[in-house]
Amino acid sequence: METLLFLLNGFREVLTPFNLLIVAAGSVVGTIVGVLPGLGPTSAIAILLPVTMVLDPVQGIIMMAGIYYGAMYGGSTTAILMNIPGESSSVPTALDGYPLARQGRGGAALGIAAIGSFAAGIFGLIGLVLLAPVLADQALKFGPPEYFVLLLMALLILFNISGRSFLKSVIMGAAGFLASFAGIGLSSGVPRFSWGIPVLAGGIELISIIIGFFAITEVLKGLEERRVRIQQEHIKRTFPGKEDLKRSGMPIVRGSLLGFFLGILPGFSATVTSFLSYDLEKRLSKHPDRFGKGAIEGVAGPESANNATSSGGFIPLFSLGIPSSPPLAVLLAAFMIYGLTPGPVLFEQNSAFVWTVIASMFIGNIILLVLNLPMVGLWAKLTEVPFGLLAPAILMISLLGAYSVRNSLFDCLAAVAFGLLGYLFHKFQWPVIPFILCFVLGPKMEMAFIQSLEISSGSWLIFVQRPVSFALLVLATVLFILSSVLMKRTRKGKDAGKGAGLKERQPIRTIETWEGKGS
Amino acid sequence: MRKIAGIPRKTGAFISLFLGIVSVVEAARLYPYRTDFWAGDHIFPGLIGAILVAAGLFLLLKREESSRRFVLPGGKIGRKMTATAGVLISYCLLIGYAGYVFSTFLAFLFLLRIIGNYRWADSALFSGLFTCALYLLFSEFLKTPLPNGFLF
Repeated sequence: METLLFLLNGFREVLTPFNLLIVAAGSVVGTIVGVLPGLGPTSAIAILLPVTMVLDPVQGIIMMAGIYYGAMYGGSTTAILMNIPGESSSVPTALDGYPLARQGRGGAALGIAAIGSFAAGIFGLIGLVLLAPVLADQALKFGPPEYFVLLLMALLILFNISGRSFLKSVIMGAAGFLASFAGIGLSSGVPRFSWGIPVLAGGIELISIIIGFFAITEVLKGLEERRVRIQQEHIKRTFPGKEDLKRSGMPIVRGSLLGFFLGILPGFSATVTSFLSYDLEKRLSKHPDRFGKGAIEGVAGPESANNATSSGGFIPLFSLGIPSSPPLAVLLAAFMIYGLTPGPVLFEQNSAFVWTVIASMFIGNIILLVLNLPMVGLWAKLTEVPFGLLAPAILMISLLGAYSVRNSLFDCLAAVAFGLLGYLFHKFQWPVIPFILCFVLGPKMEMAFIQSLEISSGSWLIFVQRPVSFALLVLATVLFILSSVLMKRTRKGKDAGKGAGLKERQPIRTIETWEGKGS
Repeated sequence: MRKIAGIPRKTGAFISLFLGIVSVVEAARLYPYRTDFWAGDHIFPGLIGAILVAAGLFLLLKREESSRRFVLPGGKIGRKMTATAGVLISYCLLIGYAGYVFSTFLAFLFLLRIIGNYRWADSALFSGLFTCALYLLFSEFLKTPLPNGFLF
């Protein structure tokens, strides 16, 4: 009952004309950026984060959440119409969505994707409302050892699913820790890792890393892929027929349940759950041979699972301060830039803020459904923006965005350096997500570790002697093994997807290359 | 196109070893500021340094798992990427001296030429429009004090 009152208060806050405008703007801008070739939710949040800094924290985070949802939706649009999944979690959507588009049923597929996303998003948000406060309440009882083990568990599992090599993930994570050390020491107040360089004594700005890895790197990748203007398949009507709705009902329910309940566990990314949902629908279907050739259930299930996982991911983010996916890691960074620390105390200290953001997500989902169905044709047109115009704009917005946080040219230069590094990491398959996670969570983890050892007078046994931290260690081992097995299966599925003609970020048909323009 | 196999792994391993050693050395420097042997600003850098050294050694001694060749872009694409990086670095260095208007206009001009292959006149037109749009966004809307140089 108390929760409901908090939520109603949240709705009261968000239902002001300006806040509604912010939610709508976030959803629309997120969709626009998500639809642009090669830019997914993570890049969308990274590029637009500095632009939202002018807003107060509540409005800024409301807008960020809208951008996240919008970009997720935009990603499914390109997956269906162009066979280009914005994120790997949209790969299963493309497997059947694109064949549907080629059959002239792209509108129906987009409609089902929107309805499935909406239903799963709302289901996930109801779960968030019910579970997050309970989890946060329990997490308040955690002491430093439990918190340290919890963060360690989350990091190890996320390392495991971040790249193809666990060892590389560990090295990247350790490098992220190292970058987070630069600045003033947490307990002594002595500068460290600055070597007398004044700008390093102030620490490395998170926004520079995010913009470098997710905006500048994306443009460099686009340059290499010779990104082109793309022609989409015909959309026709965007409202699915009765038969489509009938066929999609149960896959949406199953996808939502599967995506949400697995999504709240660290290690089960939207990619894993959307592939599991696709697999499940194929197994349950009376005509599994239709899958891959344009089965609407193959769009409904994975899209619902994808969105339910994304909503479910807010539970560990809000209640424990642990992001379960790359976009949420960037969102966590946004919270911290705004001076907010997600975790158990967030519900206690910033209750009004949390509930306003949660209420805004309900509104954001409704706005996305209402705006996007009729405007799908317009979004699809955006994919025709030439990369030659888009890329310089992204680069300059990113650099000025990095500069605007501290008005520091060092941050600008750092963003370029991280962008170039990010490109090399991508090229040689060194995952950047562990770096970001450790950079963001590093100070918290270090503090929890130091406090734990101070409590135990230097005995490391404290981490296994306390029942909750011991239970978390056991859980970490189980989830680690389980996520390894599921990731292997997912990779097999993705490889099969590529084999079936799916091209990640590659055009199917082109109008003209940006290379050929002008000169 | 330059094909590279094994080198990125070894380079990564050496960088990991180097960073690990740097971290351990810094931990040793911070040791006198400790509150206890296990408590202080030295402990985490020491542990992370040890992990980096161990992981670097593992990576160095690990057998190549696949014969995959990493391909670095060369030729026209390689030059385009290098030039883009060059423009970005130059922009960061120039903006403090030349100010927002001049340096942003120049950076856009070259980026549009390099990435979009637009004609000089078109590039200059778009560049002017972009420079104005970003000025409005950052200076007027976001109230960011953009650098003033010797020109503007």
